[in-house]
Amino acid sequence: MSASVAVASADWSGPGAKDRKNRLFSWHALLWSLVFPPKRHRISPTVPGLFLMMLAMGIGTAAYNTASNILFITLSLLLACLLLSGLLSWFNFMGVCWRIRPPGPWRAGHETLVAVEVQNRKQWLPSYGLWFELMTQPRRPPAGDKPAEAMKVREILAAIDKLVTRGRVFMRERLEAQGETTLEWGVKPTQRGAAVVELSAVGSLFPFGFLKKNIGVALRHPVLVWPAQVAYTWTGAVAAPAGSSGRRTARAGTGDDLLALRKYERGDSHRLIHWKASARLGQLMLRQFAAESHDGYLLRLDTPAGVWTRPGQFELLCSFAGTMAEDLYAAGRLRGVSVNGGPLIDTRRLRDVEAFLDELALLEPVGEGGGVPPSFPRVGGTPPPASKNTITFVPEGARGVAAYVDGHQTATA
Amino acid sequence: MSTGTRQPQLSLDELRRLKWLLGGAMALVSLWTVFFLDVEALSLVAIAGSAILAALVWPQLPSRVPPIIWRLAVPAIIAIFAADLYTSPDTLPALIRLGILLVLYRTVSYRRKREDLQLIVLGLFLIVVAGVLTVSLGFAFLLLGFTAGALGFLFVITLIDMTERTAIALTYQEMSQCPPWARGSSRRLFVRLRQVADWRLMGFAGGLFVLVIGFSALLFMVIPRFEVATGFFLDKYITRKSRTGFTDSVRFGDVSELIRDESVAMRVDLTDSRGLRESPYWRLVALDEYTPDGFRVSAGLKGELLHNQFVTQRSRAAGAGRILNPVGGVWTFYIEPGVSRFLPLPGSYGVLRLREFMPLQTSATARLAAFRTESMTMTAYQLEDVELTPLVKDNGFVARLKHARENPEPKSRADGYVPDPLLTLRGPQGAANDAVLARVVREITGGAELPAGEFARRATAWLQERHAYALSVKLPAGEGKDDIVRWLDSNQPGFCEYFAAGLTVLARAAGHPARVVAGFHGGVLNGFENYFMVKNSDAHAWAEIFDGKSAWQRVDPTPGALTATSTNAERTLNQVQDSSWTARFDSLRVIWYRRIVSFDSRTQVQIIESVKTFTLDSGSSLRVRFEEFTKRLKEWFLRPWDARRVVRFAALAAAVAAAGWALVRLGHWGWWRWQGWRRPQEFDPVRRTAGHWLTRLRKPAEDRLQSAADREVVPDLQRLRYGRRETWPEPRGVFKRARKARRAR
Repeated sequence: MSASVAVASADWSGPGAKDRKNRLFSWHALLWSLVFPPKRHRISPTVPGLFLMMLAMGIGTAAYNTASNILFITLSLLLACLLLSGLLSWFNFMGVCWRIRPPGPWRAGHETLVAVEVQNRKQWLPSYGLWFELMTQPRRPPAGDKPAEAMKVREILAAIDKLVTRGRVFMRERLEAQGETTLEWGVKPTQRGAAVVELSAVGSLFPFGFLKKNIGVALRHPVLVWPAQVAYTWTGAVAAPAGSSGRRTARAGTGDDLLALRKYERGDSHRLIHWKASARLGQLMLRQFAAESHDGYLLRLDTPAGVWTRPGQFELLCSFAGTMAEDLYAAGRLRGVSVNGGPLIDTRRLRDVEAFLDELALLEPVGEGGGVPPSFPRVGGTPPPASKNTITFVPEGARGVAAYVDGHQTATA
Repeated sequence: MSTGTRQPQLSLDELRRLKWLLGGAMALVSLWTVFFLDVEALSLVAIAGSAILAALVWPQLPSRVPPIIWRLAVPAIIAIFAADLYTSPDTLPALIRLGILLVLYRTVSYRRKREDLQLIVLGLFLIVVAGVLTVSLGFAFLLLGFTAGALGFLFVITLIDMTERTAIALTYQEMSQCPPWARGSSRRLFVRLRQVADWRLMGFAGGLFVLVIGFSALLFMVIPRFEVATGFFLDKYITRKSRTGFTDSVRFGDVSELIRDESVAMRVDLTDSRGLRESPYWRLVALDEYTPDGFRVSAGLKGELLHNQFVTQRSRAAGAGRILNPVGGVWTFYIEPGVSRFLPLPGSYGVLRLREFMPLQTSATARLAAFRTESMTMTAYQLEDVELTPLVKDNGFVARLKHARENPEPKSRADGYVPDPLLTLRGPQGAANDAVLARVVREITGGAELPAGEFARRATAWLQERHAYALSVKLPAGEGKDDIVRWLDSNQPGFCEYFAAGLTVLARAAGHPARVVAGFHGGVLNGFENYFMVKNSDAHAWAEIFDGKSAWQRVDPTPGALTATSTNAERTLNQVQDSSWTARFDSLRVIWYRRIVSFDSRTQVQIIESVKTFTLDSGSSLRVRFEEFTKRLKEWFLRPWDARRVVRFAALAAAVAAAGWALVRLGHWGWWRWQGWRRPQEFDPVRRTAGHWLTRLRKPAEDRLQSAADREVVPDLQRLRYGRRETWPEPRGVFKRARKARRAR
């Protein structure tokens, strides 16, 4: 992180996000903004603030009733403190901008961190005591037990509210002038799918806690939540004997055969640097070895709506498929994946597995004929072998999911 | 993680410790205000102050108090308050003592946000009550100190409140547990505070505080005022005893106690002090009835005062007569609380004006003015058409005396509302007293019947011959004789009360109506704000003898009084001023009284009118000057032009242009120096110049192809602007080529 504030970019928002040079200053605009705050800028008195106002009213009444200048002085001082509070609050927000960085990937059931980056672009003054209100919710609420038409508005709102996760992160430390800080919000998504993380408001009680200033932000960032990892039982040693396919893989791995050269990236082992190639090309190059030759699996996932009728079971399918794909990839035994009759995607790199998980995150049961091969097994039946070492999934019982390799049950979840 | 110019910051526990310190400091400031009030709470304040100081130094102390004590503390305080309310004659002192106890409880117990806010309100209550009741200048300083402390306190609370739930009050068990922040030493906190102190923030905070004061002053002036005819409500809930002795009765020795007091009793502001030729006698109270212990205001005079009581803001002096030689312009008096309910009057006056509607008692015959009760606060009033005369006119006294002699018993109720003239002839009773007084009078008069003035002169000489001046008096024994008679019969020294009383009883024994008058004599001009400072040590007593016709004549028999009078008069004449540091500090108080305490709707209107006048005058003046200037410029242009004049004009224009250009360059240079100092990492003169040349060469070339010179120099300029320093070509040469390329276009 740099020591000074970076140049303003498009994704920053807040009072300091606009480039100062392009901002036209006018006293008229300033005064008008003080009288009539901008949209979504809300200032409300807190309990101490209300008490102060009542106290000021009481002292003012006594001052007028008694014509005591001492009480008038006290009244003036209280009002001046209230005005100072507003002025300092304005100073505090001035030049401050923020953005959110939801570092991916998100996974259901796993805690992840949302980073809020805050910059203070003021030249002299620090900023204090800001808080950031964050929330995350799925883009599309899942279908409930009851149809939406049969629900009351209150029930709908309660159901939506259950899906929303709210949080507030505080900037406790002083943010120096021209400084920046990163605040982290830990969130644990409950279900897979497309979600939105939103910085809904930025607030502060600074400086004296009389007034609560809230700036509505509505800074939204879409995220994908991968399926949760599940525990499953693997019995595939019998079902898929090693060496049955005899196909060699051409994936990067930890074998002895040199597969390719690539540019050095931060974090790579220095032992893998190809010094001759690096000297010739003028940049650090890294040796990439082929994975050990062994048999791999194809993972085929078909989700006809007629088969996967239960939402809970379908969620388990997604989690099961995702977990198995990751495990197989980690063991170097995943050759490719296919979803709903789509093309077979080779999983040579981690990015390919992640693309599969992305697809799983958004996967929904498809209608009849939606890419499902006619040979797909019915519920309770034995699936015929589609190809060698192909893993397919079928519902097992009311809640479980079973994985088959070439017609043999290999794993259950 | 925070970056930027990283400064050390206080941790959460250090902030809590700082909050504890600020709360204690605020509490001490609020307790200090009790010293301004004359309530019996000094011992309580001492105990509370000591406990708070101990808790500030050792914050772990409250954790040693068992929970049961904390549980019982509030009921105990309420019980004490109830008992205090039952036994105390006044409500307000009991309330103040309750406030002290609550401040003590809140300060020495561990607090969360709610209790912190309670502490602020309790402190504010004590300060405002003390300020309202005393109108003291010290209130202003304490209020400012309290405000600064409270703002800092609230600021720290806001920082702490962000990260912890402080809305819930502590339980009694928690109040007896030592929190982690209370364990370290205070010294370490101060070291940390010194480390985190940033001069910019401190300066900014100081500036803001000045802004608050300025803004509150502005608000104070512009808040609309309405005159409401009512007195201050808190006065009803507290009574106060006079500190000076200027009450309805003055016993021997009262004034001498005051003489040792060097504090200022009153301040008198004169709009025009040039006409002042003598040291004023500030006449407070006329004591017309003799008692063996001293003199006092007679029941008749009190009745007259009561009878002439009106709630008013303006009073004309009845029977004051024609003002012959008014001096001083408008006299504004600021009387400290506790001096007297009687108003000091330097002589006859035309109009007496009060700050607000108040019950005012007046006596035309004795020329007295008094409030119904002694004011708890500073009293301010104004006199106009003041004449410094030693005479108090009383045209009806002779008739009243004759009437009283003919009708010794009061016959009507109205007789109770006028002073009994016979009292001004009544002195010590008894044969022993009479014998001494008759002998002394014979010594003074030689058996002849003297007019009042002559008798007063001889009696004064006789007294000063027999008695010296001293503040301590030892009266000789004498069976059946009053104190004053024994003193007269001796050679013992005495002070002003004895001389005034002695002259009065002698005059009465000789058949001249006389009375004792108490007040102040003299005063000194303040060298900074040009007003009279009259101290308690200027307290004085003198006598008044009726001249037999229509007036009471002032006689001051105290030895040294004439000398003092002449010295004071000389000082007054020469406008000798007190320019000491004490006077400097005292002048602040008068400014406070003039500008703040006495501020009213009239002053507000005056300020608005003066601002309006100033604005209009300034506008007119500027317009006139501008018209004059344009006229002169036109005349100057219309004058015949010759070669010499043209050359001079051209030289002048060139000099102005050169000076302007130099100023612009200097400003430019200063601006970049400033930028370089502020952001050294972003400032590089070579890169900046290269950027300028790139801009210049880019703009005209937008519409046409770049020339060869441009193509050659632009990459070098770009390298200077954006490239690494190690790859730079020689900058001067590049800029020279850029200049050539620019000219070549």
